[in-house]
Amino acid sequence: MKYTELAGSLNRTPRFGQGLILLSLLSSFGLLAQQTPTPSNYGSVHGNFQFDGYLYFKDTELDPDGSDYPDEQFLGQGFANLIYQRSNNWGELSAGLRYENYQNPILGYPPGFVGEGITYRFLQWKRDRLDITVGNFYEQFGSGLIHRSYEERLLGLDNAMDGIRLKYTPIDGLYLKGILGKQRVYFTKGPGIVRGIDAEANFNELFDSWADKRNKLAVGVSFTSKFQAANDPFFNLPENVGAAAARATYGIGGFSLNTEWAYKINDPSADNGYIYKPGGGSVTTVNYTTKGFGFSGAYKFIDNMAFRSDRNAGQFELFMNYLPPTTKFHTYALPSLYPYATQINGETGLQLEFSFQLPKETWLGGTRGGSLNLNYSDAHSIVKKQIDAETSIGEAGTDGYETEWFKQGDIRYFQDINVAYSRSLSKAFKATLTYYNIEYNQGTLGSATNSGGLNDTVILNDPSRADMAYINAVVFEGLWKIKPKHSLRFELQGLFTEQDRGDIAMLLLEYSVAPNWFFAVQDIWNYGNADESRRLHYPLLSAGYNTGTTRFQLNMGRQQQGIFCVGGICRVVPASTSMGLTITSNF
Amino acid sequence: MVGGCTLTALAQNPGDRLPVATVKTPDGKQISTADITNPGKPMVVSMWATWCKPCIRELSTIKDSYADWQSETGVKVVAISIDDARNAAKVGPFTQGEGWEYEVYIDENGDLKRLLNVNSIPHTFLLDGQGNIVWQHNGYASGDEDILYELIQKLAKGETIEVH
Amino acid sequence: MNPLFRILALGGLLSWAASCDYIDKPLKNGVLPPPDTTTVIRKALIEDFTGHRCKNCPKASKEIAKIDSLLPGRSVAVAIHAGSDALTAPDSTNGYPTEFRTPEGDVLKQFFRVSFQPAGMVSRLDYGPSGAAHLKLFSSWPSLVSQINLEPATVELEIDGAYNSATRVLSGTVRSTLLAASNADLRICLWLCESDIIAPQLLPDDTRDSAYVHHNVFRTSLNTAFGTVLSPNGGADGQNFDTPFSYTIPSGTDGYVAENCKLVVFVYDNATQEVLQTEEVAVGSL
Repeated sequence: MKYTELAGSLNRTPRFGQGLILLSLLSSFGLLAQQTPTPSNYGSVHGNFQFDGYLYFKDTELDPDGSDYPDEQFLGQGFANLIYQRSNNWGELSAGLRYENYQNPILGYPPGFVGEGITYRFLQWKRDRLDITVGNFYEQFGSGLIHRSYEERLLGLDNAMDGIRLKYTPIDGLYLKGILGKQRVYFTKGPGIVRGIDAEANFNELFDSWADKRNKLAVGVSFTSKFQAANDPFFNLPENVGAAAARATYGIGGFSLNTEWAYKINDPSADNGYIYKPGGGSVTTVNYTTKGFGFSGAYKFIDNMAFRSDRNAGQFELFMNYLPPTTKFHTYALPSLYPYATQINGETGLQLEFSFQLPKETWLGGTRGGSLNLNYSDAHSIVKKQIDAETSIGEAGTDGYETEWFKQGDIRYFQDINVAYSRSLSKAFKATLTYYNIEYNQGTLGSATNSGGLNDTVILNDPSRADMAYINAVVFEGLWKIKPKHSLRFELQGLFTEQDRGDIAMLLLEYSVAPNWFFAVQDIWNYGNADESRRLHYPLLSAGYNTGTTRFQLNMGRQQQGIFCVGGICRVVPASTSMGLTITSNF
Repeated sequence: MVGGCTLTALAQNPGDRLPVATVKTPDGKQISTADITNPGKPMVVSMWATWCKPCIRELSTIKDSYADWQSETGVKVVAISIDDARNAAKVGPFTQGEGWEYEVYIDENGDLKRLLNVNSIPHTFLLDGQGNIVWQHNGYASGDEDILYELIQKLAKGETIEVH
Repeated sequence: MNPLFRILALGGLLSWAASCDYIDKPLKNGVLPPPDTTTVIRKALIEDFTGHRCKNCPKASKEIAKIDSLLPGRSVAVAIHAGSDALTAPDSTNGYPTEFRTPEGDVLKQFFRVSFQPAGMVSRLDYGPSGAAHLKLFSSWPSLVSQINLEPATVELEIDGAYNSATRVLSGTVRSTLLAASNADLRICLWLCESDIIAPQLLPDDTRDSAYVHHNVFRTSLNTAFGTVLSPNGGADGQNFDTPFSYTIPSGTDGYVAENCKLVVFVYDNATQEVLQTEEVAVGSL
C-alpha cells in the first residue's frame, strides 16, 4: 500500500439555497425550534472521489495457463462520496451519499462484489443530547464483539446498517444507543433484521464523587439480536438469535485495564457447521504507560463467535461483529505475506508489546534519540471435547463440542516475535531495523503452497498436517534527507524459510520531492523457491503526482500473489502483471 | 455545540469546521470533536494509525520541533488515530513509547474519518484560530512538515493562506 | 427539548430488547415420505459446481446425498465439474487423471460467473445480470429445496423413453404440460448425467481418496448447454409441448456406463433463468 501526497487544499464553501428544503425537513421531524436559522449559514458540501484502474498483461512466467488473466483485460472501479453538513443553533444536520461503481472490479475482490449504484445514503440530526440517523450508518458497541458495522473498502468488506439509529445522552456520562436495520451485502441487503441497544456509563462524568478522582471507570452493557426466517426441512433453526456483552475500562495513573465479555445463544450457521452450541468470548487488555515507556498486553478467548445476519453467508458477508486478532499488523511487504486471520470458530490469543523511547545521548539512542519496540503474539486453538461417545466433534444438529473457557488448545496457529529498533544515524539519516521470527500454521491459515482451512481434528490426529512454516525476516529501512524537500527512502528486506515459497528478498527505493512528486522502484525476488520455475522477480515501478486536491498514481509491474489483510480479515490477491492508475480527489 | 451568535457566524465559514463526531481518549472517555479547539491559535489535526508508517514518520518528525512550534505560534497538534479495536488499546502505550506530547484521540469506527472524507492516511488538516479548516494534505514526504510550519506561522500572524 | 420527546426516545431505546429462540430439539423428525402422486410437486434442480481437486466439494456432495435420502422425490441433482481450472482440470502428476470438464459445463460456468467452489444453484433462484446472489452455499440447499417444493408447480414433465442396449440409443419424447397460463419464453434442457464413477477426489482433510464414488456427474447436453426453445411465449393452461430426443450413449473408454446414467430434463424461464420444473429418469430403468 502506498501513501502518497496531496498538496494544498481547497477553501471553498459553496453556498446553496437549501434553507427552505431544510425547514421543511425539520418540520417533518417535528423539531421546529423557536428561533429561525441565520440566513448566512446554509451549510457546506464536501466529498471525495477515487478511481482505480488496471490494465492486465498476459504473463506466461507468472501464470502459464492464463487462468488468472481477466477476459476484460482492463478492470476498473470507483466511488464518490458527498456529504452536506450544517450547524446552527438548532443542531447539526448532515446528509450524505456514496455512489460506487464496481461493475468490473480489480482482481482479488470478493466474487459477489459486482454492481453499481448508490450504496450508502443517510440523514443525521444531532441536537442537545439526541442524535438520530436514518438510512445507512456504521456503529460499534464496545470493542465490537457483538456488534460492529464498518467498511474496509480495500478488502471489499462493507456491512453497513440500513435502518435507524438513535443515540441519547440523558445525563452527562450516560450514553445510550439503539439500532435497527438490515445489513448491506455487496449491492443489496442481507435477509436478517438486526437490532441492538448499548449503554455506557462513565463514572467520572456521571458521579460528582468521581469527578476529580485519579481512578477512571467506565462500564458498558449491550444486547444485539438478529431475526432470519427459517424453513430448513432437517433442522429446527432459531429465527431470533441474541447476544449480550458487558465491558469495563478501569484506569489509574499510567495503568489501565479494559475487559469485554460476550455470550451468544445457539446460532447454527454455515460457519460453525450447524451446531447448536452457544458461543462466547472475552478480550482483556492491560496497559501500563509512563513517560517514554508503554506496555500493552492482551489476552483473548473466542469460542463459536461467528455472528452474521444470514446464517448461510460466507467470506466477508454480513458480519455482525468484529473479532480482532491479537497479533501485530505488519505493513512491510515481506512480513505481511504471513498475516494472521482471526479464527472465528475458536481461538485463544496472547499479545505483549513493549515500546521504549530511547533517550538522547545514550548508546542505544544516539545523539537524537530513538525508539525500541518489542512484540510477542501467539494464537492457539481452543480445547474441544466430545459431548458424548457417539457424537463426533462438530457434528451438525448437535451441541458440537465442549470447551473450557480460557484454556489453550494443542494447536498453535501463529507465533510472532519481533524487535524494531529505530534511531537517527546522523542529522540527515534515520534508520529502522526490524527482526521477525514467525511460526505460521499453513494447514489452518493457508499460504501460497497450502490452501489451508483444515479442521482442528485433522491436525490433532496428525500434527504434521499443520504444515508449520518457520520464518525469519529482517527489514532495514532508511530515510536520507538529501536536501530540503528531497529525500530518498529505501527498504531492504529478507525473508528466510525452508517451507512454503522459500527465501524471498526485496529492495525498494523511493525518491520524494515534497510536496508534489514521488518515484519508486522495487523488486521482490523469490530466489529460494523449491520450484525453480517460480524463482521469479516481481519488479514494480510507481510514480505519483499531487496537484491541488487531486492525486495521481501510476504503478507498473508484476505483483506476486499476496494476502491483503485489514483487521484480521484477509483476502487473497492473485499474482498479476499490470499497469495501474489511481486517481483520488478530495473537495 | 457549534452555533454562537449570528454576527460572528457571518465572519466565519461555518461549514468548514471540524465535523462533530465522538472520539475517545486513550483512557476510554468519550469526547466530542466540538470540544477539540485551540481558540485564537492555529491547530493541526492529523489522522494517523499505529500501523501507518508515513503517519508515524510525520508525527515523529514534528515531535522534535513541537516545543519550538508551540512557543513561537501557540499551535496545538491533535493526533487522531483511526486504529480499530485491534489496535485501539495500544494507542496510549505507543504514543508514550514514542514520546509524543500531542493530544491523542481514537476514532475507532471511522466516524470522523468518514465525515472528513479521508480516503487514506496520513491526512493532515490545518485549522485557523477560529476553527476553520483552511488547508489539508494527504501523504507525507520528508520536508512536508516545513511547508506545514510555514503555513502555521502565517496563520499565527493573522494572514490568510493562499491555496493553489 | 420537549420532555415528552425525551421520554419517548428513552422508551424507544429500551424497547429494543433482544429476543431469543432457544432450541431444545435441533433435529426435525426423520425422513419425509415421498410426495403424494396425485398432485404435481414442483421439484428443485440442484446444480452443484464441483471439482475433483476441490477439497470442500465432498461436503456439498454429502448434502445432496442427505437431501436425496431424507427428502426423496423432491429434487434432481446435477454435479457440474466446472469452475476454476485449478480445482477441476486433470492433474496426472498428483493423481487426478480424470477429465470431468465438458464444453457445456464451461459455457455454464462462464454464464453463471462461478468464481468459488463448492457453489450451487437451486432452480437458479436469484439469478441477476451481476453479482453472485444465485450461487448458494450448500448448507442452504435443504431450505431452498423445501421452499421450491411448497410453491405450486406451473409445469408438469413426463418422460416417455426407451433405451436399446444393443444400439445404445436412448430415445423418446418429453411432454411438457403447462399447469397455468403463461407468456414466458420457456426453454427446455435435456442433460445426461452419470453416477457411480470411481475416480480420485481431494477430501476436506487434504487427503486424496483414490476410489471416491462420484455421482450425478454432468456428461453432456442432448440439446446444447442452454437447451432449446419450448415455447417463445408460453401458452394456455393445459397446453402440451412435445420434445423428442434420440441420443447414442458412447461406449468404450471415453464412453459412459449406460446403466449408471440418468436423463435430467428441466424447463426454465429464459428471462429470469428460474427453473420451473425438473424431472429425471434412470436409463437403467428404461
